[in-house]
Order: sequence, then C-alpha cells, then structure tokens
Amino acid sequence: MSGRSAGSGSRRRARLTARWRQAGRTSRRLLIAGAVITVGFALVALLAPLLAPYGQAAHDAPQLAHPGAAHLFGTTNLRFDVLSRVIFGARLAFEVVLASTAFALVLGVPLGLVSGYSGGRLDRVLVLVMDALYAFPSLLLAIVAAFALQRWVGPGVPAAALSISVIYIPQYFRVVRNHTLAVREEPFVDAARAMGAPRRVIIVRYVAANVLQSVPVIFTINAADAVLTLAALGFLGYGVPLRTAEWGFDIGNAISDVGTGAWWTSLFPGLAIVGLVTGMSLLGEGVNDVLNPRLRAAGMTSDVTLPLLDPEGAPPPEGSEDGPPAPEGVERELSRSIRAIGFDPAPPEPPAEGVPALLVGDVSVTYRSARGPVRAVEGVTLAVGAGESVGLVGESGCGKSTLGRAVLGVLPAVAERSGRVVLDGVDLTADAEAWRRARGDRLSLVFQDPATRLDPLQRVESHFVELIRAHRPGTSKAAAARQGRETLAAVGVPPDRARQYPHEFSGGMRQRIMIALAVVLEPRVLVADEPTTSLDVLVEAQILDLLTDLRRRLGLAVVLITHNLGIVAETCDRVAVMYAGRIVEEGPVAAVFAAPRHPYTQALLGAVITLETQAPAAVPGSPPDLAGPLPGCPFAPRCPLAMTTCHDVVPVLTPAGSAHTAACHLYPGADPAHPAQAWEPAGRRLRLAEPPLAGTLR
Amino acid sequence: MRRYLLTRLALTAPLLLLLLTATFLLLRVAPGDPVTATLGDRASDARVEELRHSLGLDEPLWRQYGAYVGGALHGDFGRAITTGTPVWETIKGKFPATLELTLTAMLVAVTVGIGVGAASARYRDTPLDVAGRVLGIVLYAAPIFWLGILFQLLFSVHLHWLPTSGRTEAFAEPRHLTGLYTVDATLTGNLHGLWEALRHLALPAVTLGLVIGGVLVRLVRVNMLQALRSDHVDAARTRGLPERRVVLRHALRSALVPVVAVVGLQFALLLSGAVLTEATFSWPGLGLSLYNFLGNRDYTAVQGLVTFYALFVVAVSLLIDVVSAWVDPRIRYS
Amino acid sequence: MSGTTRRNGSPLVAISDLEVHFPIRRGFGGRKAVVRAVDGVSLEVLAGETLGLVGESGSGKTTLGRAMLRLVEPTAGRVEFEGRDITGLDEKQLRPLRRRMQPVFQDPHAALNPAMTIGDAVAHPLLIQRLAPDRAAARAQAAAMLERVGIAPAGPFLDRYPEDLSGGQKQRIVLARALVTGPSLVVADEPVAMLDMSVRALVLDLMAGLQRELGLTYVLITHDLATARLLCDRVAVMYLGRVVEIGPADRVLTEPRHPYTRALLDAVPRVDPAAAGRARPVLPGEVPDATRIPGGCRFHPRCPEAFAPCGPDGIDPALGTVTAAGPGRTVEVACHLWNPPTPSDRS
Repeated sequence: MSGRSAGSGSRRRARLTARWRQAGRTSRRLLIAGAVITVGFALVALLAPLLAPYGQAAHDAPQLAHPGAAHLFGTTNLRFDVLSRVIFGARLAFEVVLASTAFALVLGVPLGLVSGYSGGRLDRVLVLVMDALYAFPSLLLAIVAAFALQRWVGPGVPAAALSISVIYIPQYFRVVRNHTLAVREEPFVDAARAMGAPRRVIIVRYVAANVLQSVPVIFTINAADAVLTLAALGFLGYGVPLRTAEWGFDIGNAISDVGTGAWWTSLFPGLAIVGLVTGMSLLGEGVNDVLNPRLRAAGMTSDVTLPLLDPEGAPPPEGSEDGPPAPEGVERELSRSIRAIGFDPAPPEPPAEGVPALLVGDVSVTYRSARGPVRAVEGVTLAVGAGESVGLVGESGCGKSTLGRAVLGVLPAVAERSGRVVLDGVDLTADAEAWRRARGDRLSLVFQDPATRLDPLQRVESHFVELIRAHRPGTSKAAAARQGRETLAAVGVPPDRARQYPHEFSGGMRQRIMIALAVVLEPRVLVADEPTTSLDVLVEAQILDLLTDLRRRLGLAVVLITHNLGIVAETCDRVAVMYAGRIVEEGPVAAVFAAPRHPYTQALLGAVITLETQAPAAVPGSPPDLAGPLPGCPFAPRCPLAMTTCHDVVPVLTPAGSAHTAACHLYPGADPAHPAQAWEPAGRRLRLAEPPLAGTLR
Repeated sequence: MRRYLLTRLALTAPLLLLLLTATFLLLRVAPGDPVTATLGDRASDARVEELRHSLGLDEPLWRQYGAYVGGALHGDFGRAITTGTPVWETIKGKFPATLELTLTAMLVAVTVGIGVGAASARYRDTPLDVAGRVLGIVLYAAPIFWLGILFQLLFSVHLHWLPTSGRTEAFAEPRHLTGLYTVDATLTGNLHGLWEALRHLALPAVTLGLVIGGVLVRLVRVNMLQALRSDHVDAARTRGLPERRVVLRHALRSALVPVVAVVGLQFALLLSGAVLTEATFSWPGLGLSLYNFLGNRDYTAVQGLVTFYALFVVAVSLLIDVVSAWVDPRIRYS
Repeated sequence: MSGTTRRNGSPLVAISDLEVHFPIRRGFGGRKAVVRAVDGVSLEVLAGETLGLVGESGSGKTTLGRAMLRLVEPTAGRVEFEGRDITGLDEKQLRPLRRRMQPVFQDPHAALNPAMTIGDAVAHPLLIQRLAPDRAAARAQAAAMLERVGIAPAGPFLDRYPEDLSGGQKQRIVLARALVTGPSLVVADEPVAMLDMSVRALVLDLMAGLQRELGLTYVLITHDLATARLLCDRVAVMYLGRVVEIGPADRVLTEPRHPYTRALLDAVPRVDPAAAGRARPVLPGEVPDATRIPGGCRFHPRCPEAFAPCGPDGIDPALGTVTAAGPGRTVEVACHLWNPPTPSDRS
C-alpha cells in the first residue's frame, strides 16, 4: 500500500480537531495542564547540563547545608547540590522511561495483535504467561528482574529500562489483545476476509489500524507509572550506577536525614516525581477523554446526547437469544391469573368526566449541544384518555423518544423542557417530587431493550419489592414479593422463576418482566418506547397482545412509541405522526391510515414495505438539522407539494378531514391569514384551553 | 457456583506452576551459582562446597527444580545462605506484620477511593469533581517512601505525635496469638499494647493506604460514571425510586463490581507498596526482610520469599474472583 | 419487482447436507454442548435469482449465509460454487473465487473499517484481487462503482472517513465494495434492518436495479417477510438450523404450508386499517436453545397442529415436494401434515 494522500491526512487532522472541540472543557484544561508540565520536565531533562549549577557527580558542597543563595535547594549528606541532582534526575527519568516503555511497546503490541487475532494454542500459552506476570506485584517483578540482571548487565540505563519493561509488556499485551479480540469480530474484518485479503494484510490494515488508537493512552499512563517504578527501584538501591542522579535513590539516601530534621534532601526530589507523574497522568487521561468518545464528558457535548433523541431499534443478531423457552401453557394461564389477582376486567372510569388520563400541553424540549441548541421536541400537545392507546410514529430523530422521556420527567441533564404534563388533572411539572412519586406508580415506562434495563445484580423479585416499597411505604417485604409474583404470573412469567437473575431469561421473558414492573402498581398511563423492536416477530406478537390485554383490563392510557406503522394500525386507537419534533398529523388510526392528509404521512405510508407492497417509494431527502433555524414548515424542503408559503410560515394543527388534524398549508384552516397563525409562546400556551384540543379527546 | 469454583481452581494450577518456574529460572538458574553470587570472594572454596552441598545446589538442575516446586507446595521455601535459617521461619515471624499493615492500608484506601471517586462522579465537572480527580492523581503520583518521609518529618520529628518506626514500644508488645498486634492486644485486653500498636501502625498504614487510594479514586470514578449512565440505572429512575437509592443502591453497587475485581490486582500493588513502606518505616515485615536479603545478595532467601509472595498473590486473586462471582451472578453463570 | 428478474435455472450455489456446529463449554467440568446452528441443509441457489432465507433469531440463516461464503467452516456437507466444491479449499485456493462471491452486512456502521477512507475501502478489494495495477487505478474504478450506487459525484467522498456519513450512504458504500470485483453471488444479511424506514425502499430499489444491470444472484437473509416478498423469487423458511419450507415467494408467502411459516405470516403486523383489531393466532413460546434441539420434528413443541408422529420420539420430517413445477417453481415442505410418514421412515 502506498502512503495516504494529502487529502486523507488533512481529514484525519480535521477529525482530531473535531474531537478536541467536542471534549469537555474540563478535559481540555486537564490535558493542557498535563502537556505543559510534561513538556516542561522534558525541556529540563534536555537542557540539564546548561541549567544545573553544579555537575551531577560533583560532591564537594558543604554537608547538609540549608537552602540558600549558593545552593537554592540545599545540599545532601553526601555533599551533593540538591537542585543539580533534581535537574539531572529528570534526564535519567526520561531516558529510562522512554527506553522501557518503548521496549515494552515493541514486544507487547505485536504479541497482543497476533495472539488476539490468531487465537488457538499460541494465544492460550501467551495469555497464561502474561497473566502470571500481570498478577505478580509489579515492583517485585522489577526488583527480581534487576536482581537477576545485575550479574550480567552492569547497573545503568539499559539494566533499569529492561527490568522495568518486564512490567509493561503484559500490560500492552493485555490491552492490545482484548481490543483485537473485539475488533476481530467486527463485520469489516469479515469483509476483508471475504475479499480474500491475506492474514498479514488483515492484521495490519484492518485490525492494527484500529487497535493502535488505544496505544498512546496506555503509553502515557505506563510512562507515568514507570517513573514511579524507577524511583522505587532507586530507593531500594537498584537500577542505576552510583553517583548518577536519580530521584528515588536520593530520597533513599535522605532517610537518614529525617532525624536531623533536614527536609530539603527528600522534599525536592519527591516534588519532582509528583510533578512529572501528575503531568503525565493528566496528559494520559486527557488524551483518553479526547480519543475515547465513550468516556467523554456527557455533560457538554453534542454527539453523546443526540443518539438519545431516538434510538432506532434493530432486530437482535442471530443466536443472541439465550435461556430456556417459555413453558407451555403460560399463555393460556394468563387470563385466569389476572382474574385471580383481582384485576377489574371492566375498564375503570376516568376520575372526572372530560379530564384525560394524560395531557401533554405544549411541551418543547431543547438539548444544549456544542453546535447550539437542538430543538428535539417543539410545542407538542396531546391528550390520551383512560383505556385509550395512541401511537406516536416518525423517523429516527423525530423526537418521539424524547417526548416519551419528557412525559416521564426523566430527560438528561442537557435538556431543557417547557410546557406541561398533566396526569389525571394534576400538573406534574409544577412539583418535581410529585412527579417522582408518580413515576413507576401512576405513570410508567417500558423500554425497547429489556436486556439492559434490569439491574443485573438484583433478583427479579427484588426489583418488585424495591419498587412497591418505594411507592407504598409500609408494605411488608413478603407482601410486596407476593404481589410481584402475582403480576409476573399475570404477564406470563412463571412465578417460581422470580428468584432468578435477569440474565437467566430470554429477551421475550425479560420484556414481560419489564411490563410486569410497569403495571404492578396499576398505573393510569403507560408509555411504551419501541417495546418490541428488539424482539422476533412471533414474540413481538405475544408482547403486543399482552399490552392490549392489560390496557383493556386495567383501563391504561397507553402511548406507544414506534417506527412500525403496522404495529400502530393493529394496536392503537389513535395515531400522532411526528416530524422534526412536532406532531404534523393526528387522528383515529382508521381515518389517518385510510386518508392521510399531511404529505409527510402520505410519504411515510408509501415507504412502508408490507406483504402487499409492489413498489415502495422512499421519502426523498432527509430530515432537517434540528440545531439550525427552521423557518416555515420543516417538511417543506422534502415536500412535493410545497408552496411559497410553506417555506416561510409555520403551519399549525387544524382540522383536516372528518376526524383528524394536520399541520399543513394545504388545508384551509392553515391559511396564513388564519388567527391560529399567531405562532408565539404566549399564543401557544393560550390554545391549550381552546376547543380544538377538547375535540381530540373524543 | 461450585462449577465456577472448580473452573477457577483449575486455572490456578498452571498459573502457580508458571510463577514458580519463572522464579526458579530467574533467581536460581540465571545467577549461575547462588553461593558464589551471594558470598562472592568472601568465602573459601571449602566453605562454598559445603554450603552448596547442604543447600542441595550440587544436585542436577532438574532435580533441584522438582525439590523446589515440591517444597514450595509443602511450605518449604529453602534456607537463607547468609543466615542459614529456613526461610519459612522468617515468613512465619514477619508475615503477620505485613498482613496487619496491608489490611489496615486497604481499609484506608477503600474508604478514600470509594468516597472521593463516587462523589467525584456524582458531581461530575463541578469543582468538587476536579478537586477529586486531581487529588486522586497527586496521591497516585506521590512515591510511598517520599510521602512516608514527609509524614515522619511532620508528625514525628516536628510535632512528636507519632513514632517514626517499628511496630510497638519495648514492653508494650502484646502476647502473640495471631501476630497482628492490634488484634492480640484487643484479645488480651492489653489497652496500653493496643494504643502503642495503633500509634505505630498509623503512619505506615495511612501512607500506603493514601497512595493506593489514589489509584482507586480514578477507578471508582470511571466505573461510577458508566454506572450512572447505564440503562438499568436510568430505568430505576423512571420507576420513581428516590435519587439517593438510585445512586447508592443501583449505580454504586454496579460500579463496585469491577472495582472488586481490580482490588484483587491492587492487592499485588499493595504488596509492592508494602515493601517500600516497610523499608521506610522499618516495619518488621516480610518486605523489610526482603529488602535486607536483597541488600545482602542472598539469592536463596530472595528466592524463598519471592516464591511465598507468588503463592500468596495466587491465593488472593483466587479469593477475589470467588468474591466477585458471589457479588455478580453473571460471572458464575457464564 | 419479484418475478421480473430473469433466471436461467442452473444452480450457482449447490448446498448438500450442510452442517455447521459450534462446540461450547459451560464452565470447567460443565457439560460440553454443541450449538447446531445449521443442522442438515440442502438447497440450490439458481443463477440470476434472489433466494430469501427467512426465520427468527437462532434459525441459522446467518450462519448458512456465512458458510456459503466460507466465512465459517462447515462441520459436514458440501458447498459448491459455480460447480466447484469450496469446502475443502484453503485460503489461497479460495482467493480467486472470493471476487465472485461477496457479502453485504446488516450494520453499515460496523461494516466499514473506521481507519480507512471510503476510496481506499472500495479500492482495496481490487488491489487484493490484483484487478487494478496500482492504487490510483483502483481508486478510479472504485469511484466509478460508487457513482453507480448513487454516491455521486464520488470525488468528494473518496477521502472521507465512514464516521462522517449517514447509515444509508454507508450501506451504499458497502454495496459498492461488494460489487467492485464483479461478483456473481451477493449474500446480503439484513441489508436494510438497521436503516430508517424512509430509506429502506431506496436501498432495496437500488439492489434490485443493480441485479438487473449486472446479472447478480442474491441470497437475501431477512427476518422481515415483507422485504422477502418484495425482493425474492424464492424463499427458504428456516427453523432451528433446518429449512422447513422452500418455494417461490409468491406461493410460500401467500399460501403457507408449514405451520411455522403460517405463524410467521400471521404475526406480521398489517398496515391495512381494515385489519385493525383482527384476532390473529399467536404462537406461544420462543425458539429453543440450539444446543437442545427437540427430538422428532424440531417444531413440534410449539406447533398447534402437532400429532403423534411429530412428538419427541417421532420422526424428523424431511423436505418433500408438495407441488412440482419447473426449476424454481417447486414447493417443498418438511412437515408430516403434507408428507405423511411412511412405515419405512421408522426404521
């Protein structure tokens, strides 16, 4: 392979710059501090002969002189000048540390790559050897190495570097091997195999190219550690020849000064060690923060929060299911046990006539990001009655998941919400504590990925006990556990498995457990965010049936967030179509699906692939950037019917057709001259009380 | 769980054999003849021959190897060339001191590490977090022996609060039961002995504990950050559990699982640190003996001590893994 | 789209009695188990057709696809590609064949090497296969292929890294990389599952177009019956490592014979508002662990229509022809309801 073109080099630089900008301010400052300190020490080491007032081996100063004009840092009992020793010590530290980490790198990295990629017997033997080295106390290892080496290699930089590198070879090996194992399973490595690339090429261009990104981080961290190890060796009298300036050795000499109260002989070399190690550690942590986005500050960055907007689901990889299958007869038992635990088969009446179970009033959510505010949800108003289910659909990034989290009041710290969430006539946004108490009790959420949503360290049963006792103080543990088991039985989980751990269940069973947790306290409102996206189609059907059944029996108001229009058609009463954070069309499922009004809804329905589809039509273009300004209708740039008005004036939801509303200028209600066009916060808040909203309640 | 234990035990055997072999190669084979390496030109040929014979060093290497491995597994760690005493005697006498020091230091380290690390993560990117991070790094960066000397200068030489070295005062030594002076003094109701033992233990244990704690701060913080962001902690919040419970019960608990595993490795670090601490405070433990034997170039004694360290490390890592499996059901399941 | 592609009826890939088993070990002293991911599959992929492999997670469809490309070693059986048995070949012998058979992966974000530019990623197969004299020539060919999959103009993309691109764009690049060496067979594993629904149609349409233009043969692995119905000429329904039903898509997915196929079809949510609230039979239970495959018919524990011969001590049904027609039009089903067991089967 020839070298990279200039273009790709500049891209690479641009990529680093972008990461640098995205890293949190704290990380950047720590990194800069670390770099400054480290470079400072490096300069001192380089210029040592120029900077030091005396030679490193010159021992003709007065013994144990206090710091003063002639000897800024004082002198030692061996008549050395402390300042000069500290300066020359930096030089030795850099020589040894660079040599030892470089040596460890040259041995550890290729071994880790080959061992991790090839596997087999070589891998097993190497892992055993490296693990043994790694488990052994590192300093002892270095001492033993130095002790064994002293007969063959005289004391000096090579001996010290060799004995220290013994510690770091296994560290590079382990990190690189583990990373290699992970990368080896990536599809792009399969792709390389499928193109017939020889092993050497795969290791170098596909595996190593990615694995080596973690090396700078380990390098800095190991270098910092090596400074300490060198000092410890020196302190014990190993590693460097007599009279060579070495910080640890000098501190070791200073032990005998303690009794005399001479503090300067130990303080200054020690400060040098602390300074250099701190600098290198800060540098290492900073580099890690910038290069490793997963650990990057979530608080201040854009691309950590943006995926939160809408995690679009994908089916699980094949063979990911584990655990034994559901026992037979669980389904048939379902209806019996629900009666047995006294769920009222008839939907309970809403507490007051005309008050919806859930009212979302003009809710907007804005994420702070490096690119400026991202308006994820924009003025959404929605009402859901008891026993009713509303489907919330849209492409990824349309804000449907964010809206779901906003209803629960569990948005990430970088989000700002406005508007109201009213549960049974009680405004939760007014009282954070009441909101918290409502969560899990009268208001609950089911997630997409049941695999990660249960605490792996807790038995299934104790999830229930914890939840019930948090919301119903005074319930005994036994009573709470019993209630949990009954609910598990009601959703089709054998109650005798309640004392098992979450990982012992299959994906479908875990989702049943999540649903049982969500309904155990008989909530009024259930938000289900892509509840079946990670499940297979047959299990999906089971879960959807279960949700519908529970909704009818418990009179739940359900908000079903999904990208699958088929699920909405089959399980929901009403549907709200979201685009760019807004609801663009809303109405009864039958009416909207039979006669979609908004061009976006029409396009979305056209893109769905069903068993009857002859020629699906993709929605052209892509959703707008929510961080930018959005004048007019957000769909206008993709809309085949867009008019001039559409690019300037924001349409609002107005009646469109018999029973539903759409936010589109094609419908007369959305005329620019229409009074509802007063599109300003005050106006929006006022509209809450106006008739069109009551209309959506049926 | 039993199956997991068996698996773990089976993995221990080759690890142990490997460590023993490495020790043998490095300290017995590499130096050539340990007796001349130890005594140099100080001894007459006859004396060397006699020592070689009495230590079994005139046997063929493979036989020495067999005797060494067999001995190590039976608690026979050979004899020191310089003193002629069995290494096992040294270990028996000195190990309790090392154990007392490391256990107390671990207590200090865990308190500092979990306290500062968890608080730092919980209040991420606030000044508290920055202070916690920097404290962790600086503690880690401080050489143990240097921190020890500073403490000696301040608390002993300057303030006269605490002693600089040793385990206790003359005549305050408690009757030996476990060899841990604090425990022995408590058991025998020897209040003066307990007081002196604690006074002597304070500086070495805090010095060692703080430095190890610095490592733990970083570790706990990173794990806590991941745990606070994990899906199941998020789910616990959506179930309306009180924030205190979410942080302490769900996040901290799952953050500590990997920490327990790493504490096992830190224990190796702790033993390294103990060597330095003991050398600094003249704490009469194994580390100080090792330091002295190293200084005397006593190859057989060093070999014996290092072998014991290897056995001890393997035993501790086994224990830690079992504890991890007990804490985290996923480990024992897979 | 289906049925419009030409086919000449000769098999491009012929698989016989293929087994792919993975031994796993559960702890020390624990029992050794074998995951029977593919457990006795025989089928042919005809030149120019699109064959769908459908089924749930754990059905073995992905492993079967990987075995066709020799990305996983078969435990037993044969895979013939273009008339040549490829199961015994070593990597060196396989290399010239590799350019004729290529994979497309489910996750476009993971299918591209993050450390390689788009241009290099698509050019690399040409260099490996020595189909281009040097890097510049390879990149020129790569650019032409990128434009063909709709990354046009390709110039500005060549020096970009995958992380700058959207999922839909990445999947086109993965397609370009697969097609740049001029393959005859493309095995596409859930090519649109990770994409937003609004762009799925676009990628599927592109795939269909390229098939017509380049005369490709597709093996499409998918859990989504609607996608299979749209793109495939024939489908093979898999359950626990076996093919339980195979035949023309327009037959199998409209008049399913096997109870499992019928259950899958019933479970697909319909967008048709008229279907709202329809009572559909829901199959209980989940796919069992592939280390513990039930005896008899492996579907019998979940089958609503299981009868005596299917049971745990019953007979493992083999694929049998239900309706015979020309090549590619035959329906075969592995079910005792359709192919009643004969006494000779019991021996």
